[in-house]
Amino acid sequence: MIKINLIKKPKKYQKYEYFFKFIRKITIFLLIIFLIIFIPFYWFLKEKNKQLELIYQEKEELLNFLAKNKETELAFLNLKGKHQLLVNFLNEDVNFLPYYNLLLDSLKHATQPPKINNVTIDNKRVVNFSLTFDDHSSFISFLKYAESDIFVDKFNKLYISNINLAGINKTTQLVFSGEFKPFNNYED
Amino acid sequence: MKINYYLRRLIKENIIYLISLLFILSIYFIFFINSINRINQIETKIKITKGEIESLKIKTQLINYKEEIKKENIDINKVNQLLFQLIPDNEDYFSVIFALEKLSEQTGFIIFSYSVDINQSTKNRLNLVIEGFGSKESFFNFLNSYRYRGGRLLTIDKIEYEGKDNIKAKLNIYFYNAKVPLLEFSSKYQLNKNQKEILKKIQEETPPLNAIENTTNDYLYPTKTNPF
Repeated sequence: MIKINLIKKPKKYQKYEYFFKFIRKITIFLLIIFLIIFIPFYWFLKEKNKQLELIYQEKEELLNFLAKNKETELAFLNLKGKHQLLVNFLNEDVNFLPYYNLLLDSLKHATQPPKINNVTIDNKRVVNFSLTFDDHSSFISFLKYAESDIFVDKFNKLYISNINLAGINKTTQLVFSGEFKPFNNYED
Repeated sequence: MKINYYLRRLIKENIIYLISLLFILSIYFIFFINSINRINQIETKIKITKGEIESLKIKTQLINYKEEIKKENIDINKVNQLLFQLIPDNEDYFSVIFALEKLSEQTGFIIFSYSVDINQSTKNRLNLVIEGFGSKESFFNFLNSYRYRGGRLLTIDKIEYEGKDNIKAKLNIYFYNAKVPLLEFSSKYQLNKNQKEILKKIQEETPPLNAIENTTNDYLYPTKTNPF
């Protein structure tokens, strides 16, 4: 039988004892901690899986529902697409009538309203129009009116590009060029 | 080498703890790493699937919305049919001529000449210069009707007109064709007031031509590329 003299090196053996005591304690501690953590962790994982299953189920139900009604989805896609194209194309339109009415309206306030001889409007709102006057006094009074805010306010820019004074046909003609202020554009 | 019998005895007595500790540490490592990965995977899947569900829900809302707008007199099937007629997928010259004749007939504004401007035309846009005459009333009827009443979408980018009671006008007009662009519903689709008004106007004003509804609800107008 082997005999160990513990008195000989007590410090050294105590160190071993403490170490193994620590190992025992830490093992038991970690085991308890593991059990404490594992149960809620496992439960949490299970809940997450359950949640995922429910979400997949919901997705499947929605997909089945949509598969049965795919024509409606397609119809709305077509509607959205063609409507978008329509709006884009309509934005290229001159939108003549509202601007023409605006011009008529602006002329109405003149003391002696002239007659519109011709009008050109493009889709950038650039306008050219010529007005004819029956006599010289209406021409002069209109020139004053043409500088007023009531008339000029309708345009971003406006200038007289030509004047044909009364000749043989006894009519005076004023040619304007300019650009209308935008209004009421088509919106998507 | 000197054998430390005491240490050996201690190891022997505690071997079960030592092995258990190693085992528990391995379990900790494997279990938690795996579980955290698994939870992350599940979380990612949940997040992605929830996003997909949201977009699917947006689509399912369309089914109810179809009925909702029907109450406002917008029949989506009819509107689509008319939209495919107004803007066909491919150009159809017969319907262009037909649209001009119909407009002329309906408004009384006589179109006496039309010519195609190839330079201004593109794959999706046919440019014509038309000249017409008529009473002031017929001309303004034409200006009130030209967009939809011919059965094809028509826009005018320039108008030159002269005359007082009888109008002579030269118009730069466009007809359009285009396939439906690839779209999807990323948010709840609802028509705003302006859009509803345009669609109602289309329903009211566009005369149906020979629109054909195929089984996939993909409306096609019978097209010909050569008028002769």
